[in-house]
Amino acid sequence: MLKDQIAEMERRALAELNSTGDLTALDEWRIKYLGKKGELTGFLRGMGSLSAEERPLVGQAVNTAKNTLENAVAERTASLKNIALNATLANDRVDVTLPGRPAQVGHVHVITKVYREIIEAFTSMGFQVAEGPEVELDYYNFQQLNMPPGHPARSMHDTFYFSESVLLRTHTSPNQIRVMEKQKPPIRIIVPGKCYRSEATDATHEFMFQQFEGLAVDRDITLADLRGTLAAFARRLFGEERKVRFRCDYFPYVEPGVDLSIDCMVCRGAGCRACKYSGWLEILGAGMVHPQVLRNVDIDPQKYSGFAFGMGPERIAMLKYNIDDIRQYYRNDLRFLHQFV
Amino acid sequence: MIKVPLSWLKEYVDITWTPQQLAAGLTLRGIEVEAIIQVGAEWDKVVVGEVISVEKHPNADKLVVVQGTDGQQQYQIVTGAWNLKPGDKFPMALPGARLIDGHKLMDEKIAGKRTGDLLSGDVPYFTVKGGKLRGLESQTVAVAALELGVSEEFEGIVVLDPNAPVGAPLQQVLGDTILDIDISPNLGRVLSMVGMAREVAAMTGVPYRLPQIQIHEDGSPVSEKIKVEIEAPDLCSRFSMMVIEGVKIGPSPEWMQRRLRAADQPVINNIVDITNYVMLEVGQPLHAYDYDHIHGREIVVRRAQPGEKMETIDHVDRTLNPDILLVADAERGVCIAGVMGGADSEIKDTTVNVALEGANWNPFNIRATARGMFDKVSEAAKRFERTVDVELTTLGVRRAIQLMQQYAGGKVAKGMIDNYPTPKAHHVIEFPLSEIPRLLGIEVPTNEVIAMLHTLEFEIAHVRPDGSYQFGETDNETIIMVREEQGHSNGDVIMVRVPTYRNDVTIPADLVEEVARMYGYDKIPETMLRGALPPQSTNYAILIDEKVRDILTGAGLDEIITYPLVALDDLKKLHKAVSEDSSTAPHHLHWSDPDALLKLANPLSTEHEYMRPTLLASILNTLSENRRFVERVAIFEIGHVYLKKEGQPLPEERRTLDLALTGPRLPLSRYNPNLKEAERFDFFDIKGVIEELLVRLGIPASQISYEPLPTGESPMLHPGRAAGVYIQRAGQKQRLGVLGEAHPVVVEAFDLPAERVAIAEIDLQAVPALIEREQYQTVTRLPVSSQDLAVVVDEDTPAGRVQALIRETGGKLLTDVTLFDLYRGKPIAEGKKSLAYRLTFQPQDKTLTEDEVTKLREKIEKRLTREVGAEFRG
Repeated sequence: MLKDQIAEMERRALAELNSTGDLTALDEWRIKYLGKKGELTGFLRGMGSLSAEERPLVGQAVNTAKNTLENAVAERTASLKNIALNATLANDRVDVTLPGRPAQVGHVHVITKVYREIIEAFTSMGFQVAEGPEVELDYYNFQQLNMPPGHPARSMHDTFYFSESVLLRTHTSPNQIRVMEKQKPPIRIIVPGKCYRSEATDATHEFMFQQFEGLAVDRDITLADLRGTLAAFARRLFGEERKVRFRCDYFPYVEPGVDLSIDCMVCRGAGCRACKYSGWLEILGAGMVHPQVLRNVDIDPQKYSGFAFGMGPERIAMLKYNIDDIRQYYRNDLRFLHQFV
Repeated sequence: MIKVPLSWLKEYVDITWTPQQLAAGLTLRGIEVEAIIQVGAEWDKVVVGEVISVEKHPNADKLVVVQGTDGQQQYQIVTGAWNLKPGDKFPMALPGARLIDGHKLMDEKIAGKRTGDLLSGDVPYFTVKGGKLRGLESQTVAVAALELGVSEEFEGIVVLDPNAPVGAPLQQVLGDTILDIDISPNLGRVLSMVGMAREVAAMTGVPYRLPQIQIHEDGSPVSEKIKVEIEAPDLCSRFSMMVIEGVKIGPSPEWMQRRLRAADQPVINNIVDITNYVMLEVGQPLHAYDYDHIHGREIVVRRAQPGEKMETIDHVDRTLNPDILLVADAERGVCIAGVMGGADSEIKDTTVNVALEGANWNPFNIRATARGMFDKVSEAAKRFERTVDVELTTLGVRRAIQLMQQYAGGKVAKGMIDNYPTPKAHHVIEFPLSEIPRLLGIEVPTNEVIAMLHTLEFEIAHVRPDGSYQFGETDNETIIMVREEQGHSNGDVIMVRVPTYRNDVTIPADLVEEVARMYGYDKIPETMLRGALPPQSTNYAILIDEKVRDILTGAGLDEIITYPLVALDDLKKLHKAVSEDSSTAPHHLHWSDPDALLKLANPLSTEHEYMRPTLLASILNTLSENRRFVERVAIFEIGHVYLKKEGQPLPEERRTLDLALTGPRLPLSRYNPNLKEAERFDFFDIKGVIEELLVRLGIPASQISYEPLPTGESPMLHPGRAAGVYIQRAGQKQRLGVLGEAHPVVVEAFDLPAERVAIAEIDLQAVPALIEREQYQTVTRLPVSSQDLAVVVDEDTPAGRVQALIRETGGKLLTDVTLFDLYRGKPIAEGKKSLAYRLTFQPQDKTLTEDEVTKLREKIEKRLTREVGAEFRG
C-alpha cells in the first residue's frame, strides 16, 4: 500500500522533473521531493507506524526511489546546464571576418632578404662571410686585380675618387686580395657589401649597389667546380628545375672568365621581354682566379687554383620578385618595402 | 659598340648559320650580341618595280613619266629623277607607303636649318598617295635612297640588282640584318668586319677572306714626297704612310654610305669615308691629311711641348702638354696621335693631294689622352686603347689607297713609308696540356686541342729531341715535349705561337680559355668542391647585424638602406639649432664641417658628395619622404659612418645603427580609431626599444645607464628629452650612443610635421666587445613575496638614482624592481613626485618570513631617506 504510494510519488516526481525548465525550478523540485522536509523523507518518517516485516521493505522501496530520483535530477541538471551554456554561447558570437588586433612586426629590407638567402646558400657549402672597406685604395680595387693605371677595363668601372689613390670601391673584388693577403689556401669566402659607380641612374643602373664576392682557392679547383657551385646556388634561390648556362666573358682578374645565366623563369627559355628574347637571364660574372692575381698575393698559381664570382643582390631580387626599377630599393618607400615579408 | 651588317660581313666569310644561331654562338664565345636589328622592316608597301617605259613629261622639261609594274599592276609615275631606263629594277612605293620626306629635308638643308648628316636626328616622313603633277596623273612614287634612310642620295632613284624579283618586298633585296655587339676590353680583334669574319669562320668551320688589293702605283716614289721620323718610339711602334695626288673630293659611293650608316658611322666625303670604311673593314684606324698642308713635307712623331697649341677638327683650340703625342710637320702639330686630327690639315672640298697615315699607338697613352680630352671616345681611340695589331698598318693603308684611287681618282706615289723601329716578335707560350683538366675539370684529347688551336690560327711548334723547337714547315712531326716540372704531373707541353692580332693571349690560362671557347662553355660539367674545409669561425659583426634586425623587426620597426653619400646641406640641417656664436665646440659638430668630412673629387651631384659621418640625416630624410604617404613610421638602418683618420689613407668605417619613430604608436584600427588623438611615439618608445635591444644583444643590464647629455653635446636633439647611452665596464665608462627626440628646429629643417620624432644612433662597432656570456641563475620553486613601495622625492631627483639605491640595498633577495606609477599632485607636496615600485623578493634556499621582508624594506627606506631625502606613502 505504502509501496504503491511511493511508486505513485516517483512517477509524479519524474514527470514534474521532466517539465522543469531551469535550474531554479530544479532546486524547488529537489526541495519538494528530496529535501529534509520532502516527500521522500515523509515516507521514512511514517515508517514508525509500520510492522517489523513491512519496515525493511518500505525502507528499501524509499531508497530505490531516492536513487532513481537522484540519478534523474543529476541527469536533468547536466542537461539544463548544457542548455543554459549553449544559450550563452549562442549569444556570444563574433564576426570572424573582422580584422584581428594588429601585431606590430616590422620588415627587413628586401635586399636583406636576398642577402640572407645568398649567405645561407654559400655558408652551407663551407664559405665564410668576410667584409672589407667601402672606401678603398686604387691598389686593391684595380692594380692588384690586373688593372694597372690606363688599363682599358677600367673604363667599365666609372669610379668615384677621393684622391688619385683613394676611391669608392667599384666592386667587392678587392676583398679577394685583402683575404688572400692574410689567409692561405684552402680559402672559401663570401664578401657582401656596398659598391659605387659614377654612372647616371636609371631603371637598371644605380650609383650605389651591393655585391657579393665569392672566392675559393685550393689545389685542383676547376671551372667545373665553379659551375657546380653556382648551379647549386642558383637552384637553391630560383628553384630546383632551373637550368644554368655558362658563357665566356671577360674580367681582367679571372681567366677563363664566364658569366652565369639561368633559364628565364617567365618564358621557360622560349624568349620573352624579360630575357630580351634570349631565353636566358644573366645573374652573375665569375671565372678562374687569374694566375697573376694569385702571384700578387704570394700564392703559387702552379700549385693552387681557384674561382671567384661576383653577383648583385639587386639583380637577383629583380628577377625573383619581378621588380622593374632598381631605384625602388634605396628610395625606401615603405609601401614598397612592406611588400616583402 | 660595333654594328655588324651581315650583308657586309659575308664578303669575308660565308654565313651558313641563321642570325639567331650566330648571335647565340658568338655570345657563348664571349662576343655578346646585344640585339639583332632588321633593316628595312619599316619599308612596308615598298616593292621591287620594273620600268616598262620612260617618256618626257609633255608639260615640264625637268620631269619624266615612268610606267612601272610590280608584276601585277601597272603604275604611272611622274618624277624628276632622270636615271631610270626601261628594264631597270627600282624600289617602287605602293600607295600608303610611309617614306622619309626627302623634299622637306632638302628644303631644310637649303634654308640652313639642317647641317651635316641629313639623316641624323629627327627626320620628317610622308605617306605616299596619288596626285597630279603638271596635269598628269602620278599614281605612286619611285623611291630614292634618302627616302629609305640608307644614304643622302636624292637626285636619282636607286637602281636594284637586275636579278631582283619583281613585286618582292624591298626588304628582301635591300634590307639587312645587323648584329649589335658589345665589345669587352679584351676583344679589340673583333672591332672589324675581318675580325668578326675570323671568329665566325672559326665557329662555323669555314674559311674567311681578306679584301684583295690592287693599286696602280703610277706616281713618283713616296720617299720624294714625304719623310717620317718617330721621336717617341715608346708611344708609336709603327708609322706607315702613302700619298695619292690629284684626287677629286666628292660623295662616297652609295653602297659605302649605306654600309657606314648601317654601322653608325657619319658620312662626310669620299676620302674621309674611305678611312672610316677601312677602319671598320680591317680594324686599322687611318688618318688622311691634306698633303699640301703638311709643312716642310715631313712628319715627326713627338711629344707635345708644354703649352703647345693646336686647333683640332672640331674647331677647338687645345693647349697640349708632353703627355700628349703629336703627329707634327716641320712647324706644328697636325694631329693628336690616334685621337683627333688638326683643323688645318684636314681633308676639305679643295683638297687635291692626300697623305694617308696608318700607325700603331701605345694604348695607355691613347686612353689617357682621349679620356682626358673628350667625353665620348672616338672610334679610332676605342680601337687603339684595346691594342691594334701592329701588323695591320700596311694592309689598312694599302686598302684605303686602293679605294681612294678607285672612287676619287688620282695618282698613287710609288711605295710606302713604313717606319717600324722594332718589329714585334711573335709571342710564344709554353703550354702544359695538363693545365686544361687542372683548370677546366675536363679531359680534351690532345689532337682535338691541337685542332682547336689551329682553327684559331695559333701555330704549334715542332720539337726536336734536344728540346729545341721550330715553327713552320719541317720534316719533324713531333710537337709534344715532355717536361718533368713540379706542378705538372702530366709533363706534356706544347709550344704555341700566338697570332699578332691576339694581344689578349699571353699565358697558358689564356690558351685554356681558348680551348674552353672551342669546346663549348655550355658543355662544362657541374661538379662540387672536394677539398678540405677551411677553419670555420663566427663573424660576430654580421651575427650582431642579424640579431639587431630580428629584435627590431620584432619590435615593429622596418629596415631601410640609404646612400652613404650625402649632401652637406643635409648634414647642416642637423646643426640648425646651434647658434652661430656658440663658443663651445661640442661633440658631433664636425658633422657639418666640410674639412672634417671625406669628400668626393668627382661627385655626380652635390646631393651625393660627402661620405656620411652619421646616419641621422639619411634616416630623417627617409622619415620625411615616407611621412608624405603614411602616418606612422618606425624605421632603422644598419650602415657605416666614415671618419677621417689623421695620417691614414683610408677612413675609419664604423658600423652604426640608427632608429627613428614618429607618428601614432599604433596604426589605425578599430582599437585605435582616432589617429589624430592617438598616443604618439616619444622619447620613452625609443628608450624602450634601445633598452630591450642592448640587453638582448648580450650587454649586461647592470652595465648600461641612460644619462642626460652634457649641454650642447648633441644639438640635433631636444635639450630636455635626450640621453646618452653609457656602458660602465671594468672601471671604464664609454658612450655607446645617443637617443632622444629630435630638436623641433631639426624636425622643421627636414620638412617633417611638427610633432615628436624619436631618434637614436648607436655605435654597433663597439658592441661585440661588450657582449658577456649569459650565466644561468638558479630558478627555485619557493614562493615569492611582493611589496609595493611609494617613494616621495624632490622633482629633480632622477628616478634612475632611486631605483639604483633600491636595487643595491635589496641585495640578492630583491630579484625585481618595477616602477609602476609616477604621480604628481595632491596630496603630494608641490615640487615633489611619487614613484611607486613593486619589489619582488625571491629567496634561494628557504621561504622568507614576514619579518625578514619587513626588515629589508625598512633598510631600503632608511637608505632612501638618507641619500635622497625620500618620504613614504601609505
